[in-house]
Amino acid sequence: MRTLDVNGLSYAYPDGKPALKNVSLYAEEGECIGIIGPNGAGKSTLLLHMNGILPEDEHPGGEVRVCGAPVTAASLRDVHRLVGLLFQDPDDQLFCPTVFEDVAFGPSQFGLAEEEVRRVVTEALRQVGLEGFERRSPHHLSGGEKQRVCLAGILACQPRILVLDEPTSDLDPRGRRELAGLIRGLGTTRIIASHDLELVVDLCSRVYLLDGGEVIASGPAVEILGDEPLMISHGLEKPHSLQHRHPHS
Amino acid sequence: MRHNYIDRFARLDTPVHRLPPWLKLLATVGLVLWTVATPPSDTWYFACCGVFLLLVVVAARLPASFVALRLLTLEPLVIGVAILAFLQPGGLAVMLRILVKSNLCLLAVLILSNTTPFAEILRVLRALRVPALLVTILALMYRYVFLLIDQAERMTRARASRTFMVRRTGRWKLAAGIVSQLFVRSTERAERIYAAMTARGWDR
Repeated sequence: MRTLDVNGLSYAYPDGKPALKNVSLYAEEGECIGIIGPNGAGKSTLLLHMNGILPEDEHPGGEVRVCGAPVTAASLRDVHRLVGLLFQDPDDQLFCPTVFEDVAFGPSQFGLAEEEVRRVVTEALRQVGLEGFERRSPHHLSGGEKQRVCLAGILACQPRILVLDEPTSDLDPRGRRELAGLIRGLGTTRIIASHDLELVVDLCSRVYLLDGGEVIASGPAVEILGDEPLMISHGLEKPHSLQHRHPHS
Repeated sequence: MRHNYIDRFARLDTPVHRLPPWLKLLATVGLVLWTVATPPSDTWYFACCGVFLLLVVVAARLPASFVALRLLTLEPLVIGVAILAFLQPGGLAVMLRILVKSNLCLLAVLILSNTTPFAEILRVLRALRVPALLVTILALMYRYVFLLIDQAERMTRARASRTFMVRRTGRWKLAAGIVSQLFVRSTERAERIYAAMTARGWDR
Protein backbone atom coordinates (compact mmCIF):
# COMPACT_ATOMS: atom_id res chain seq x y z
CA MET A 1 0.00 0.00 0.00
CA ARG A 2 1.16 3.55 -0.70
CA THR A 3 1.43 5.30 2.67
CA LEU A 4 2.21 8.58 0.96
CA ASP A 5 0.94 9.63 -2.42
CA VAL A 6 1.49 13.06 -3.95
CA ASN A 7 -0.40 13.69 -7.18
CA GLY A 8 0.23 16.62 -9.55
CA LEU A 9 0.98 19.02 -6.72
CA SER A 10 1.51 22.67 -7.66
CA TYR A 11 2.08 25.57 -5.33
CA ALA A 12 3.00 29.23 -5.63
CA TYR A 13 4.26 31.42 -2.80
CA PRO A 14 2.03 34.30 -1.69
CA ASP A 15 4.13 36.67 -3.85
CA GLY A 16 3.16 34.61 -6.92
CA LYS A 17 6.52 32.90 -7.43
CA PRO A 18 5.88 29.27 -8.40
CA ALA A 19 7.53 26.84 -5.97
CA LEU A 20 6.17 23.45 -7.04
CA LYS A 21 5.04 22.48 -10.54
CA ASN A 22 3.01 19.33 -11.01
CA VAL A 23 5.01 17.21 -8.55
CA SER A 24 4.05 13.54 -8.19
CA LEU A 25 5.71 11.01 -5.96
CA TYR A 26 4.82 8.12 -3.72
CA ALA A 27 6.23 5.96 -0.95
CA GLU A 28 5.29 2.39 -0.12
CA GLU A 29 4.86 1.22 3.46
CA GLY A 30 8.25 1.02 5.18
CA GLU A 31 10.15 2.47 2.24
CA CYS A 32 12.92 5.05 2.59
CA ILE A 33 12.73 7.70 -0.12
CA GLY A 34 15.27 10.42 -0.89
CA ILE A 35 14.48 13.86 -2.28
CA ILE A 36 17.52 15.61 -3.70
CA GLY A 37 18.04 18.86 -5.54
CA PRO A 38 19.97 22.13 -5.38
CA ASN A 39 19.17 25.00 -3.00
CA GLY A 40 15.82 26.53 -3.77
CA ALA A 41 14.57 23.49 -5.69
CA GLY A 42 11.41 23.35 -3.58
CA LYS A 43 12.35 20.44 -1.30
CA SER A 44 11.33 22.08 1.97
CA THR A 45 8.13 23.46 0.44
CA LEU A 46 7.24 19.96 -0.75
CA LEU A 47 7.87 18.50 2.70
CA LEU A 48 5.60 21.10 4.34
CA HIS A 49 2.80 19.89 2.06
CA MET A 50 3.23 16.32 3.30
CA ASN A 51 2.26 17.44 6.80
CA GLY A 52 -0.55 19.74 5.70
CA ILE A 53 1.21 22.90 6.91
CA LEU A 54 1.11 24.19 3.35
CA PRO A 55 -0.98 25.23 1.49
CA GLU A 56 -2.62 27.79 3.76
CA ASP A 57 -5.59 28.27 1.42
CA GLU A 58 -8.17 25.72 0.42
CA HIS A 59 -7.35 25.52 -3.28
CA PRO A 60 -4.21 23.51 -3.77
CA GLY A 61 -3.26 22.32 -7.22
CA GLY A 62 -3.16 18.53 -7.00
CA GLU A 63 -3.48 16.47 -3.87
CA VAL A 64 -1.55 14.74 -1.13
CA ARG A 65 -2.80 11.43 0.23
CA VAL A 66 -1.61 10.11 3.59
CA CYS A 67 -2.42 6.45 4.31
CA GLY A 68 -5.01 6.55 1.54
CA ALA A 69 -6.94 9.61 2.76
CA PRO A 70 -6.55 13.05 1.11
CA VAL A 71 -5.14 15.88 3.23
CA THR A 72 -7.95 18.37 3.84
CA ALA A 73 -8.68 20.96 6.50
CA ALA A 74 -10.89 18.39 8.26
CA SER A 75 -8.23 15.68 8.33
CA LEU A 76 -5.34 17.91 9.45
CA ARG A 77 -5.29 16.63 13.01
CA ASP A 78 -4.92 13.03 11.84
CA VAL A 79 -2.32 14.07 9.29
CA HIS A 80 -0.20 15.80 11.96
CA ARG A 81 -0.30 12.60 13.93
CA LEU A 82 0.41 10.25 11.01
CA VAL A 83 3.24 12.33 9.55
CA GLY A 84 6.19 13.35 11.74
CA LEU A 85 8.16 16.27 10.36
CA LEU A 86 11.77 16.91 11.39
CA PHE A 87 12.79 20.49 10.65
CA GLN A 88 16.15 21.58 9.37
CA ASP A 89 17.11 23.82 12.30
CA PRO A 90 16.71 21.97 15.63
CA ASP A 91 16.28 25.30 17.41
CA ASP A 92 13.04 25.88 15.53
CA GLN A 93 11.68 22.62 16.80
CA LEU A 94 12.89 22.59 20.39
CA PHE A 95 10.63 25.30 21.72
CA CYS A 96 10.07 24.04 25.28
CA PRO A 97 12.16 24.90 28.35
CA THR A 98 13.15 21.28 29.05
CA VAL A 99 13.84 18.18 26.98
CA PHE A 100 11.04 16.29 28.70
CA GLU A 101 8.43 18.94 27.93
CA ASP A 102 9.57 19.12 24.34
CA VAL A 103 9.33 15.40 23.70
CA ALA A 104 6.01 15.37 25.56
CA PHE A 105 4.60 18.24 23.49
CA GLY A 106 3.20 16.09 20.67
CA PRO A 107 1.73 13.28 22.79
CA SER A 108 0.02 15.71 25.19
CA GLN A 109 -1.43 17.67 22.26
CA PHE A 110 -2.95 14.44 21.03
CA GLY A 111 -4.69 13.97 24.36
CA LEU A 112 -2.74 11.11 25.94
CA ALA A 113 -3.08 10.64 29.71
CA GLU A 114 -0.21 11.95 31.83
CA GLU A 115 1.10 8.50 32.78
CA GLU A 116 1.00 7.39 29.17
CA VAL A 117 2.83 10.56 28.05
CA ARG A 118 5.58 9.87 30.59
CA ARG A 119 5.96 6.32 29.31
CA VAL A 120 6.04 7.38 25.65
CA VAL A 121 8.63 10.09 26.36
CA THR A 122 10.92 7.73 28.27
CA GLU A 123 10.65 5.21 25.46
CA ALA A 124 11.34 7.83 22.74
CA LEU A 125 14.41 9.15 24.60
CA ARG A 126 15.67 5.58 25.04
CA GLN A 127 15.21 5.00 21.31
CA VAL A 128 17.51 7.90 20.44
CA GLY A 129 19.97 7.04 23.22
CA LEU A 130 19.33 10.04 25.46
CA GLU A 131 18.03 8.48 28.67
CA GLY A 132 18.34 10.81 31.64
CA PHE A 133 18.21 14.01 29.56
CA GLU A 134 14.65 14.84 30.69
CA ARG A 135 15.51 17.83 32.89
CA ARG A 136 18.12 19.36 30.57
CA SER A 137 17.45 22.62 28.79
CA PRO A 138 17.62 22.42 24.96
CA HIS A 139 19.91 25.44 24.82
CA HIS A 140 22.72 23.57 26.56
CA LEU A 141 22.77 20.52 24.27
CA SER A 142 25.23 19.83 21.46
CA GLY A 143 24.03 19.94 17.87
CA GLY A 144 23.83 16.15 17.64
CA GLU A 145 21.92 15.88 20.90
CA LYS A 146 19.50 18.60 19.80
CA GLN A 147 18.78 16.78 16.56
CA ARG A 148 18.19 13.52 18.47
CA VAL A 149 15.83 15.23 20.92
CA CYS A 150 13.91 16.56 17.89
CA LEU A 151 13.69 13.04 16.52
CA ALA A 152 12.51 11.76 19.91
CA GLY A 153 9.81 14.46 19.95
CA ILE A 154 8.54 13.12 16.65
CA LEU A 155 8.87 9.43 17.50
CA ALA A 156 6.84 10.11 20.64
CA CYS A 157 3.89 10.97 18.35
CA GLN A 158 4.23 7.47 16.87
CA PRO A 159 3.90 8.56 13.23
CA ARG A 160 3.42 6.22 10.25
CA ILE A 161 5.58 8.43 8.03
CA LEU A 162 8.75 10.27 9.00
CA VAL A 163 9.64 13.30 6.92
CA LEU A 164 13.17 14.61 7.49
CA ASP A 165 14.40 17.97 6.16
CA GLU A 166 18.22 18.07 5.94
CA PRO A 167 18.61 15.95 9.07
CA THR A 168 22.43 15.94 9.00
CA SER A 169 23.23 19.50 7.91
CA ASP A 170 24.33 20.68 11.37
CA LEU A 171 26.04 17.54 12.59
CA ASP A 172 29.66 16.48 12.95
CA PRO A 173 30.66 13.09 11.47
CA ARG A 174 29.91 11.21 14.67
CA GLY A 175 26.52 12.87 15.12
CA ARG A 176 25.79 12.19 11.48
CA ARG A 177 26.76 8.51 11.76
CA GLU A 178 24.65 8.06 14.89
CA LEU A 179 21.63 9.73 13.31
CA ALA A 180 22.00 7.68 10.12
CA GLY A 181 22.07 4.51 12.22
CA LEU A 182 18.95 5.63 14.07
CA ILE A 183 17.05 6.40 10.87
CA ARG A 184 18.09 3.10 9.33
CA GLY A 185 16.77 1.21 12.35
CA LEU A 186 13.27 2.68 12.13
CA GLY A 187 10.64 0.60 10.44
CA THR A 188 8.32 3.42 9.38
CA THR A 189 8.06 4.96 5.94
CA ARG A 190 10.77 7.63 5.68
CA ILE A 191 11.17 10.61 3.36
CA ILE A 192 14.57 12.31 3.51
CA ALA A 193 15.37 15.58 1.77
CA SER A 194 19.10 16.21 1.85
CA HIS A 195 22.25 17.54 0.24
CA ASP A 196 24.12 14.83 2.10
CA LEU A 197 24.20 12.53 -0.91
CA GLU A 198 26.23 9.84 0.87
CA LEU A 199 23.45 9.64 3.43
CA VAL A 200 20.85 9.33 0.68
CA VAL A 201 22.78 6.54 -1.09
CA ASP A 202 23.27 4.85 2.23
CA LEU A 203 19.67 4.92 3.44
CA CYS A 204 17.28 5.37 0.52
CA SER A 205 16.08 2.80 -1.95
CA ARG A 206 14.59 5.29 -4.40
CA VAL A 207 15.18 9.00 -4.98
CA TYR A 208 13.44 11.89 -6.67
CA LEU A 209 15.53 14.67 -8.18
CA LEU A 210 13.84 18.03 -7.81
CA ASP A 211 14.91 21.25 -9.53
CA GLY A 212 13.00 24.46 -10.15
CA GLY A 213 9.96 22.94 -8.43
CA GLU A 214 9.73 20.03 -10.86
CA VAL A 215 10.59 16.34 -10.57
CA ILE A 216 13.44 15.98 -13.07
CA ALA A 217 14.14 12.29 -12.53
CA SER A 218 13.24 9.44 -10.23
CA GLY A 219 14.43 5.88 -9.76
CA PRO A 220 16.74 3.67 -7.71
CA ALA A 221 19.16 5.76 -5.65
CA VAL A 222 22.30 4.17 -7.09
CA GLU A 223 21.11 4.76 -10.65
CA ILE A 224 20.12 8.44 -10.27
CA LEU A 225 23.00 9.49 -8.04
CA GLY A 226 25.45 7.52 -10.19
CA ASP A 227 24.47 9.48 -13.30
CA GLU A 228 27.24 12.07 -13.17
CA PRO A 229 26.08 14.37 -16.03
CA LEU A 230 22.58 14.50 -14.55
CA MET A 231 23.91 15.29 -11.07
CA ILE A 232 26.29 18.01 -12.28
CA SER A 233 23.66 19.70 -14.44
CA HIS A 234 21.41 20.10 -11.40
CA GLY A 235 23.98 21.48 -9.03
CA LEU A 236 24.78 18.16 -7.32
CA GLU A 237 27.59 15.67 -7.64
CA LYS A 238 28.12 11.95 -7.86
CA PRO A 239 28.86 10.68 -4.34
CA HIS A 240 32.35 9.29 -3.73
CA SER A 241 31.01 5.94 -2.69
CA LEU A 242 29.58 5.51 -6.21
CA GLN A 243 32.68 6.74 -8.05
CA HIS A 244 34.28 3.33 -8.25
CA ARG A 245 31.23 1.11 -8.22
CA HIS A 246 30.21 -0.82 -11.30
CA PRO A 247 26.69 0.28 -12.28
CA HIS A 248 25.41 -3.30 -12.53
CA SER A 249 27.02 -4.80 -9.46
CA MET B 1 29.59 30.44 23.07
CA ARG B 2 30.13 32.92 25.89
CA HIS B 3 26.99 33.49 27.87
CA ASN B 4 25.95 36.05 30.32
CA TYR B 5 23.00 34.00 31.51
CA ILE B 6 20.24 36.01 33.04
CA ASP B 7 19.66 33.20 35.54
CA ARG B 8 23.21 31.94 35.84
CA PHE B 9 22.87 30.84 39.46
CA ALA B 10 19.41 29.30 39.31
CA ARG B 11 20.77 25.76 39.66
CA LEU B 12 22.97 26.12 42.76
CA ASP B 13 22.27 23.95 45.78
CA THR B 14 21.64 26.06 48.87
CA PRO B 15 18.81 26.13 51.45
CA VAL B 16 17.21 28.97 49.48
CA HIS B 17 17.43 27.04 46.21
CA ARG B 18 15.89 24.01 47.91
CA LEU B 19 12.77 25.89 49.09
CA PRO B 20 9.65 24.85 47.17
CA PRO B 21 9.27 27.00 44.01
CA TRP B 22 5.64 27.92 44.76
CA LEU B 23 6.70 29.37 48.13
CA LYS B 24 9.39 31.50 46.53
CA LEU B 25 7.09 32.71 43.75
CA LEU B 26 4.27 33.64 46.12
CA ALA B 27 6.67 35.24 48.59
CA THR B 28 8.19 37.36 45.82
CA VAL B 29 4.85 38.48 44.44
CA GLY B 30 3.64 39.19 47.98
CA LEU B 31 6.75 41.17 48.84
CA VAL B 32 6.51 43.24 45.66
CA LEU B 33 2.84 44.07 46.21
CA TRP B 34 3.42 44.86 49.90
CA THR B 35 6.38 47.10 49.12
CA VAL B 36 4.41 49.00 46.50
CA ALA B 37 1.46 49.46 48.87
CA THR B 38 3.44 50.49 51.98
CA PRO B 39 3.32 54.24 52.73
CA PRO B 40 6.74 55.90 52.28
CA SER B 41 6.81 57.09 55.89
CA ASP B 42 7.26 53.50 57.07
CA THR B 43 11.07 53.60 57.01
CA TRP B 44 11.35 50.62 59.33
CA TYR B 45 9.56 48.38 56.88
CA PHE B 46 11.89 49.33 54.04
CA ALA B 47 14.99 48.90 56.16
CA CYS B 48 13.88 45.45 57.39
CA CYS B 49 12.90 44.44 53.88
CA GLY B 50 16.29 45.47 52.53
CA VAL B 51 18.20 43.65 55.25
CA PHE B 52 16.04 40.55 54.78
CA LEU B 53 16.67 40.46 51.01
CA LEU B 54 20.41 40.94 51.51
CA LEU B 55 20.42 38.04 53.99
CA VAL B 56 18.67 35.89 51.40
CA VAL B 57 21.31 36.87 48.83
CA VAL B 58 24.01 35.72 51.25
CA ALA B 59 22.17 32.50 52.13
CA ALA B 60 21.67 31.71 48.44
CA ARG B 61 25.41 32.30 47.83
CA LEU B 62 24.76 34.74 45.01
CA PRO B 63 27.97 36.72 44.35
CA ALA B 64 27.52 40.34 45.41
CA SER B 65 29.20 41.59 42.23
CA PHE B 66 26.73 39.66 40.08
CA VAL B 67 23.70 40.98 41.96
CA ALA B 68 25.03 44.55 41.87
CA LEU B 69 25.77 44.33 38.14
CA ARG B 70 22.33 42.93 37.39
CA LEU B 71 20.66 45.67 39.44
CA LEU B 72 22.72 48.26 37.59
CA THR B 73 21.66 46.99 34.17
CA LEU B 74 18.04 47.34 35.25
CA GLU B 75 18.70 50.75 36.78
CA PRO B 76 18.46 53.12 33.75
CA LEU B 77 14.69 52.82 33.64
CA VAL B 78 14.35 53.40 37.37
CA ILE B 79 16.74 56.35 37.31
CA GLY B 80 14.91 57.82 34.31
CA VAL B 81 11.62 57.75 36.18
CA ALA B 82 13.31 59.02 39.35
CA ILE B 83 14.80 62.01 37.54
CA LEU B 84 11.41 62.90 36.09
CA ALA B 85 9.97 62.72 39.61
CA PHE B 86 12.74 64.95 40.94
CA LEU B 87 11.73 67.73 38.56
CA GLN B 88 8.36 68.27 40.22
CA PRO B 89 7.81 70.37 43.37
CA GLY B 90 8.94 68.50 46.48
CA GLY B 91 10.59 66.03 44.14
CA LEU B 92 13.40 64.82 46.37
CA ALA B 93 11.13 62.75 48.62
CA VAL B 94 9.28 61.26 45.66
CA MET B 95 12.53 60.40 43.96
CA LEU B 96 13.90 58.64 47.03
CA ARG B 97 10.65 56.74 47.43
CA ILE B 98 10.80 55.54 43.81
CA LEU B 99 14.45 54.55 44.09
CA VAL B 100 13.97 52.56 47.28
CA LYS B 101 10.75 50.83 46.32
CA SER B 102 11.78 49.83 42.82
CA ASN B 103 15.20 48.61 43.90
CA LEU B 104 13.65 46.43 46.59
CA CYS B 105 11.20 44.96 44.06
CA LEU B 106 13.94 44.40 41.46
CA LEU B 107 16.14 42.73 44.05
CA ALA B 108 13.32 40.40 45.07
CA VAL B 109 12.66 39.36 41.45
CA LEU B 110 16.38 38.98 40.83
CA ILE B 111 16.65 36.63 43.80
CA LEU B 112 13.67 34.60 42.61
CA SER B 113 15.03 34.18 39.08
CA ASN B 114 18.45 33.18 40.36
CA THR B 115 17.29 30.68 42.96
CA THR B 116 14.56 28.95 40.95
CA PRO B 117 14.94 27.37 37.49
CA PHE B 118 12.55 29.07 35.07
CA ALA B 119 10.90 25.76 34.17
CA GLU B 120 9.90 25.39 37.85
CA ILE B 121 8.38 28.86 37.92
CA LEU B 122 6.38 27.99 34.81
CA ARG B 123 5.17 24.79 36.46
CA VAL B 124 3.93 26.76 39.47
CA LEU B 125 2.18 29.28 37.20
CA ARG B 126 0.48 26.42 35.39
CA ALA B 127 -0.60 24.87 38.70
CA LEU B 128 -1.97 28.25 39.78
CA ARG B 129 -4.19 28.19 36.69
CA VAL B 130 -2.54 31.11 34.97
CA PRO B 131 -3.95 31.06 31.40
CA ALA B 132 -2.13 28.42 29.35
CA LEU B 133 -1.50 30.80 26.47
CA LEU B 134 0.34 33.21 28.76
CA VAL B 135 2.49 30.42 30.22
CA THR B 136 3.31 29.19 26.70
CA ILE B 137 4.36 32.67 25.64
CA LEU B 138 6.58 33.01 28.73
CA ALA B 139 8.12 29.61 28.02
CA LEU B 140 8.83 30.52 24.40
CA MET B 141 10.28 33.86 25.44
CA TYR B 142 12.67 32.19 27.87
CA ARG B 143 13.62 29.55 25.32
CA TYR B 144 14.47 31.97 22.53
CA VAL B 145 16.00 34.92 24.36
CA PHE B 146 19.33 33.07 24.53
CA LEU B 147 19.16 32.25 20.86
CA LEU B 148 18.56 35.92 20.12
CA ILE B 149 21.56 36.90 22.25
CA ASP B 150 23.70 34.32 20.43
CA GLN B 151 22.55 35.58 17.08
CA ALA B 152 23.17 39.22 17.95
CA GLU B 153 26.63 38.30 19.21
CA ARG B 154 27.50 36.38 16.04
CA MET B 155 26.29 39.21 13.83
CA THR B 156 28.17 41.84 15.83
CA ARG B 157 31.33 39.78 15.56
CA ALA B 158 30.88 39.24 11.83
CA ARG B 159 30.31 42.95 11.30
CA ALA B 160 33.29 43.86 13.44
CA SER B 161 35.57 41.58 11.45
CA ARG B 162 34.70 43.40 8.25
CA THR B 163 34.64 46.92 9.66
CA PHE B 164 37.78 49.01 9.33
CA MET B 165 37.09 52.69 9.68
CA VAL B 166 34.17 53.64 11.81
CA ARG B 167 32.99 57.07 12.73
CA ARG B 168 30.32 57.44 15.38
CA THR B 169 27.47 57.84 12.90
CA GLY B 170 28.72 54.74 11.09
CA ARG B 171 28.59 52.75 14.28
CA TRP B 172 24.99 53.78 14.91
CA LYS B 173 24.11 52.77 11.38
CA LEU B 174 25.70 49.34 11.87
CA ALA B 175 23.82 48.83 15.13
CA ALA B 176 20.57 49.79 13.44
CA GLY B 177 21.31 47.30 10.68
CA ILE B 178 21.87 44.51 13.17
CA VAL B 179 18.68 45.32 15.04
CA SER B 180 16.61 45.29 11.87
CA GLN B 181 18.24 42.05 10.72
CA LEU B 182 17.46 40.48 14.09
CA PHE B 183 13.87 41.58 13.77
CA VAL B 184 13.47 40.05 10.31
CA ARG B 185 15.18 36.82 11.33
CA SER B 186 13.11 36.52 14.49
CA THR B 187 9.90 36.99 12.52
CA GLU B 188 10.96 34.27 10.12
CA ARG B 189 11.96 32.00 12.96
CA ALA B 190 8.63 32.61 14.67
CA GLU B 191 6.93 31.36 11.52
CA ARG B 192 9.06 28.22 11.44
CA ILE B 193 8.47 27.56 15.14
CA TYR B 194 4.75 27.90 14.58
CA ALA B 195 4.99 25.39 11.73
CA ALA B 196 6.91 23.01 13.98
CA MET B 197 4.28 23.38 16.71
CA THR B 198 1.46 22.78 14.24
CA ALA B 199 3.26 19.71 12.90
CA ARG B 200 3.07 18.19 16.36
CA GLY B 201 -0.59 18.85 16.90
CA TRP B 202 -0.75 22.42 18.29
CA ASP B 203 -4.29 23.67 17.89
CA ARG B 204 -5.00 27.35 17.79
